[in-house]
Amino acid sequence: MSRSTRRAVRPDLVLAGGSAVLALLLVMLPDPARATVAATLRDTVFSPLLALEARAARTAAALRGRDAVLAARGGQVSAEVALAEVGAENRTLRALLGLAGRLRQGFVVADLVPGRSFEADFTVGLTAGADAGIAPFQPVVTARGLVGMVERADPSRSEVITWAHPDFAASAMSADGTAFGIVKPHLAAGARRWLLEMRGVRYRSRLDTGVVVVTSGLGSTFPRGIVIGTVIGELATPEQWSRTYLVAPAVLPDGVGPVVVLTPGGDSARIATAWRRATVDSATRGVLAASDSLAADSVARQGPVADTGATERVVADSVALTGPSPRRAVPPAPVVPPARPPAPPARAIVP
Amino acid sequence: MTGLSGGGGRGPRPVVTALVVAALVVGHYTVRPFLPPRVPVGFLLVGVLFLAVRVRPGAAAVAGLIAGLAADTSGALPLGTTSLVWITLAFLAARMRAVLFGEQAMVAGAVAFGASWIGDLVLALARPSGTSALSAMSLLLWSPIGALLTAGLAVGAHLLARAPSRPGGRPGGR
Repeated sequence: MSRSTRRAVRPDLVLAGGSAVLALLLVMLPDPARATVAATLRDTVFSPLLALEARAARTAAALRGRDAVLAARGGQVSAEVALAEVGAENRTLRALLGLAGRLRQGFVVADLVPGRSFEADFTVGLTAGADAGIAPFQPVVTARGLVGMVERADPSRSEVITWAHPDFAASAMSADGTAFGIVKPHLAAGARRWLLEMRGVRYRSRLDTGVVVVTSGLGSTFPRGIVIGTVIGELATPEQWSRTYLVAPAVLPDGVGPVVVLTPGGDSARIATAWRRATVDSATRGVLAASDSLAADSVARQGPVADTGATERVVADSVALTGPSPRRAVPPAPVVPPARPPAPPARAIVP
Repeated sequence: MTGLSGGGGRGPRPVVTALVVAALVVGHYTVRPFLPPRVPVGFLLVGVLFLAVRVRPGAAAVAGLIAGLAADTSGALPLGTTSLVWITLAFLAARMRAVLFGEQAMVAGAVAFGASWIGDLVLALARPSGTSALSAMSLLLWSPIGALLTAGLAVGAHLLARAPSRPGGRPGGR
């Protein structure tokens, strides 16, 4: 290699080597220091680009939701044309069913950062951060149940570890409060990786398949009553004095959309009942729908009698049933028991 | 030396190059949210490679560092991981450019495909064990599809950079 060529190549090697060393140093930094550097970069150099990304994400979410909005509007118009009063009741009922309506205060609604898949590393990013009141260790939920926990909060973004993350753990109990344990991800291969385990359940506390598991409120992270999932079976473990149950999560990866972050200002009593009401209302609607079907069947079997006006009466009843007014509302059955006295500290978990 | 026209006269259209790179960077932050997350299209990677074959290897490595930091700050990987991979890819692309190819769009597409796929594989291996459910299906199906789209983007960027050639001038203005 000639002297001039060597002279030309040396600065390139210096620049490339320097860049590589800098990147390597960043990789080797301790997690807190690295997070600080990343946050500084996010808030300074890359701030305009990330703001651009957040705006694009909102637009994309709006476009993706357009079909659902159009369908909802179409259904709404049909309902208004057919039965204006029932339509109005439905709208009111749907508004009541909304999680935000149930929580009333102490929460932040956030969109997911685009381009990140739940499956990639069991984390999701949120387009809201400390400026909106989000802080580490706050629970992240949807109307279906628990998604995870805020791990890091920058001013405008935050990072969430989901229930599938190996570091995730939550103190849990059966919905009737008879069994307590700790829920962690089921670290198996394949599709079973998307399940949870409820460990450390007392041996005499047997849980049947289908039992709903909720957060117990022990510890300082997750308030009581957030739905985690449903028991689908017991796992055989070497432990002799406790049981481990396999739990199907309430929030599946595909079902994670915009989320709600529970902030300290929330009312714990409201949080404890937010998912209970949804479950009970769902069951109530199922019962009403079943009775409606039975009524329709009986009318069909009556044959000619239906022509004398019975059909109209049953249809009117059915309309009233499917759009329950406050007078017809069935009081919610207690799925989650009232708050218990504080449990011994040994059971609390620190995530 | 490390400017856009460095490297012995390669890439004599710095304005076009800067515009294409800027468009790719903006595309990363504005177009990507509209694409499915399973198929990651590497706008930033294409920008790095596009720049790498037009500047000196040292400048290409710096571009890889900056773009990698940008990717890491909005991603889930530890800061610096993507930078390390992209510094290597950019430096190699800049060095290979002198040996193997100039501004051939198809070659650039092939390089982008390989870089994207290999980069995904390396980054998947770089994740701490147990923190990812990326399966062989993801790496053998979705990642190559993303790499193909990235290659298409690279070909498009090169064609775009070559399109408004001066009358009588050679493609790419060279």
